[in-house]
Amino acid sequence: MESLAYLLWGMLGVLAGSCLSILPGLHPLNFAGLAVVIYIAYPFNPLAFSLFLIGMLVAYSVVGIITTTYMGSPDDSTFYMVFPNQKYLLYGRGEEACLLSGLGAIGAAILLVAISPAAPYLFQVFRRLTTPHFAWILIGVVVYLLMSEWPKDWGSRKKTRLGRLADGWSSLVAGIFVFFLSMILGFIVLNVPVMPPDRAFQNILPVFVGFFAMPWVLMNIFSNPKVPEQSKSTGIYAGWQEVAHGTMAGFLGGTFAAFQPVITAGVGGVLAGHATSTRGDTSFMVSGSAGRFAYYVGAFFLFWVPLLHLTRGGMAWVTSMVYQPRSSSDFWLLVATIAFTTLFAFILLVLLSRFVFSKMVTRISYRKISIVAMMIILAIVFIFAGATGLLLLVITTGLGLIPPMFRTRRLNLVLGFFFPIFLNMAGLGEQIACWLGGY
Amino acid sequence: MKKNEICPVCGKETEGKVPCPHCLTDTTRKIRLLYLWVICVILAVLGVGAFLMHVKASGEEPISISQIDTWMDYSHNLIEGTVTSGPLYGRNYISFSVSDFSSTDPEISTIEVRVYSPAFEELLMERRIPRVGDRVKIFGQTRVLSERDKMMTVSLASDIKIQPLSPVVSTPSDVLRNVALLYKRVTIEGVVTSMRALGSANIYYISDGSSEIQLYVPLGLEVYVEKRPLGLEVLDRVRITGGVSSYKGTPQLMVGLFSDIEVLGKEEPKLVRLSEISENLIGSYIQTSGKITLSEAVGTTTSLKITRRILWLDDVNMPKAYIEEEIFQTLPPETKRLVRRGSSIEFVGKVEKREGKLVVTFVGPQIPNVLEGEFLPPIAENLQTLEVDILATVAGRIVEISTREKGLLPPDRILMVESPSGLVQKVLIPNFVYERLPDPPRAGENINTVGKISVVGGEKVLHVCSIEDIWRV
Repeated sequence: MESLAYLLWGMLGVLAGSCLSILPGLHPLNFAGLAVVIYIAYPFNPLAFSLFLIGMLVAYSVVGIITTTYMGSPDDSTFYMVFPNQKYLLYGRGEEACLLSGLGAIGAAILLVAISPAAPYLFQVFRRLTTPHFAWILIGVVVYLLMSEWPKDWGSRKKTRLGRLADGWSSLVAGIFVFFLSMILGFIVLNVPVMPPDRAFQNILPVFVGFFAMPWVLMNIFSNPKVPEQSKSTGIYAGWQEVAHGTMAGFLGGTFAAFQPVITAGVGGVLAGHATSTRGDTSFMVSGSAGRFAYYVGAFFLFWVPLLHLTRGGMAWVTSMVYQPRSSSDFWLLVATIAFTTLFAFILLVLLSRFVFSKMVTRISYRKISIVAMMIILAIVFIFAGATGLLLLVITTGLGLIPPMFRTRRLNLVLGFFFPIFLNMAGLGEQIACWLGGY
Repeated sequence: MKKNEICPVCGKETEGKVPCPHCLTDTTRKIRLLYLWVICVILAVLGVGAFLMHVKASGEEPISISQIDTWMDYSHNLIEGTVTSGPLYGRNYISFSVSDFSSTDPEISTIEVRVYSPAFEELLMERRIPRVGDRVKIFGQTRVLSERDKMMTVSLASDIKIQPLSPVVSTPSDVLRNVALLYKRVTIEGVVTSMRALGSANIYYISDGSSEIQLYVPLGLEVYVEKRPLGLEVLDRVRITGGVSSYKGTPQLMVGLFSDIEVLGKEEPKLVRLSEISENLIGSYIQTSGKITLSEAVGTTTSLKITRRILWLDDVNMPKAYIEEEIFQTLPPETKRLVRRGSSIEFVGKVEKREGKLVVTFVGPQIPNVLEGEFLPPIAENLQTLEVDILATVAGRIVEISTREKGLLPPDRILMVESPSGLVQKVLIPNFVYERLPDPPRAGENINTVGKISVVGGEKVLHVCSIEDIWRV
C-alpha cells in the first residue's frame, strides 16, 4: 500500500508539472526551485518528494510539448523540433504533432524501462570509458557541430562569384559569430556574479529563455501566422519505421546528453540525428521528444541506478539534498513511477491538446497567444531573476534572434554559452576568463 | 487516392495527390490510434514488471566494502560490518572504522566512517556510540581516493544502525594472547602503570601483573565530548569495558565514553627515600621525593625538540628522575612551571636502570606534589679544576659569543664569560635551549649561569641545561 501511495505522489507530480510546463519559458530547474520551497515549508516523506519531482519532470517532457506546438515557445531541448511542430499546426495538424511527439516520449520511456535491469552494469562501463575523456569529448562535440554546418540556400543565386561566395558563407560566419558572442556571454555569466546572490542559482534562466523562447515568440508576434481549424486526429500519418528510427535516435542522443555533463538535449539530439541519418519532419518530432524525455528523465534515472549514483541535472541535485536512493527497491519504484507517470502524462497531453489547446489556438489570434506567452515569460523571468534577469533577457534575445535571421544553427548559442565549462574541464577556463577580465 | 477524394485530415480535395497539397498529409501511411494505446499498454506492462521488482527487492542490500572503488566516489551506499577502530572525536564529528572482512587485505575491506553534526550530537544524546566490536549498518556518501583509502560520511543519525556486542570478561594477558578476541568487546581489570601522550590521544598502559595492554583514549573525547580530563592516575585500579582493536599488529583497547572506564581503587606505592633506592627495586613503583638541583632538558641531534627532562635530585650521586617530554606536557601549567631548580618534588616513579645507573622514571598520569624553593650551586672559580657532571654557577661578563655548528640546525652557542677575577670560562648553550630563550644574552652583558660541567673539545665547559639557568644580572 505504501508503494502505491508513492506512485500516487508521482501522479500528483504530473498534475503539478503539467500546470507549470504549459507556461512558456519555465524550465525543470524552476520546477525544482518551487518544489524545494514547498518542501522546506511543509516537509514530508523525502522519497515521496523525490517521486513527486520525477512526476513533474515527466510532465515537463511530455505535456510540455503543448507549449512548443501551440505557443511556439521552445526551450533548449525543443528548439529544433519547434519548426516541424508549428508547421503541422499551420496545416491544422497540431493535435497529430502532439501525438507524434508524445509517441516519441512513450517510446523513450519504454526503452528506458527496458534497459533498467542492465543499467547498473551498462552505465558503469560507460562511466569508466568516458570519464577520463570528458574534456576532449565535449570540445570535439563543439568542433564537430561548428564544422558540420552546411551553407543555406537563400533561393536567389547571386550573379557574381564574390556574391555567391558571400552568400554561401553568410550563414556559416553568422553561426561562428553567434558561437563566439555566446561564449563571451558564457564567460561573463558563469564567472562573474551577474545576478544578486539570492538569485544566483537562476542566472541561466534568462539566458535560455532569451536564446530560445523569446525570439520565437517575437517572430510569431510579428509574422502573426493564421492558424487554421485543427483537425481531430484519428491516428498518425507516418510509418512505423520513421517512428522507430526517430525514437531510437532521440533516445540515443538524449541518453548521451544525460550522461555527459553540460551537453544538453538539443546537442545530443543533433548529434544522434547525424549519427543515425534522421531526416523528415516525423522523425524530427519523434526523435526530439524522445531525446528530451531521455535527457531530463534519464538524467534523474541515472541518480537512482544502484552502484552508479550519477548526479546529473538540476532535479537530481535538488533531490540529492533531501533523499538518497538506498537500494534496488528504490530504483525499481522509480522505474515503475516513470512508466505510470509517462502514461498519465501522455493521456493528459492528448486530452489537453484535443479539448483545450487545439480549440483555443483557432479561436484566439496567434498574435494574442504569443503576446500572452511573452508576458508570461517576462513575468517568470522577473519573478525568478529580477530586473537584472530582464536585462540579461534583452541581451540574450538579441543574440537568439541572429540564428533565425541568418538561418544558422541555434545550437551554437548553447555550445558557445557552455564552452567556458568545457574549457574549465580541460583546465584552461580560468586563464581565458582572466584574459577577458573575468577575474 | 483517387481524384476528388477528400483528405481525411484537412477535409479538402486532394485531386489525387499524395501528400495532400493542403496539409501535406501522406495518407498512404497511418498508425491508428489503437496502436498508440497498444504501445501504452506495453509501457504499462513494463511498469507493472518494475513495480513487482520493487516489491520483491529487499529494502536493504549492503554492498561489500572491498567492492567500493574510485568510480563510486561521491556515491551513496549501504554498508554492513564490524567496527574495528574508534570512535575518534572531532569538533563536529565522530569517526570510526568499519570492516566487513570481504577481502583478505584488511585495508581494502575497511572504510572510515564520519558522522557530522547534527547527527553526531544526536548519537551522543542517544548514547548510541559505535564501539569496536559492534555490528553496524550504515548508509552514507562514499569518498574514494583509492581502494585502500575510502571514507563514508553520514549526515543522518537514523542512517546508522548499531547492534551492540556484549562484552566478555577477560584479562590484559588474555587479550594480548587470544587473537579470537580481536574486534570483540571485553571487560578487563588492571592497574594503570604508565601513559604515553600522543598528539591526538593518550595511551594508558593497563597491567594485570604479568602483561600490559594499551588503552587508547582520544583527546577529542576529553575536549569535545566529556569536556573534562579523564583523571586517571598511575596505580589506579580500573575496570574497562572496551573493544579490542589492533594498531600495527598490537592489540589495543578502545573506549567510546569515559563511562566505559571505572576506577575501582588505587594501589599504594612503596614510600622509598632516594638514598634507599637499590637494584632490588628495579621494576617496582615507588613514591619518592627530593629537591631539584638541576632540571636538564635533553634534545636530539635531528631537531630542536626536547625529548625528556632529567631532574637532578638532592645530590649528584642520587638516582635522577627521568620525565619523558610527552608526559611532562600533560602536567598542569602551574606544575610545569614549578618543576625547576630549587623546588621540592614528590612523585610516583618506576625504578629502572639506564646507561648503567639507577634512575626513577616519572610515570604518568599523575600530578606530583611540588613546592617552590631556591637552589644555587656554588660559583665555579675555575671549571677546569672541577669534575665532570658537577653542578656549578658561572657569573661574569660575556666577552665573546661563538657558535658550534650543528649541520642544518641552528648552532649551539659558546659564551666566553669573564669572571670578576678576570678568568674567562666557557659556557655552552645547546641550540634547543638557546633557540627557546626569549631574549638571548649579548656580548658585554653580565650574566649568571647554572649548569653541569661537561667536556667539549677536550676543555671543560659549563653546560646550560634549561632556559631558567641563564639570566642577566
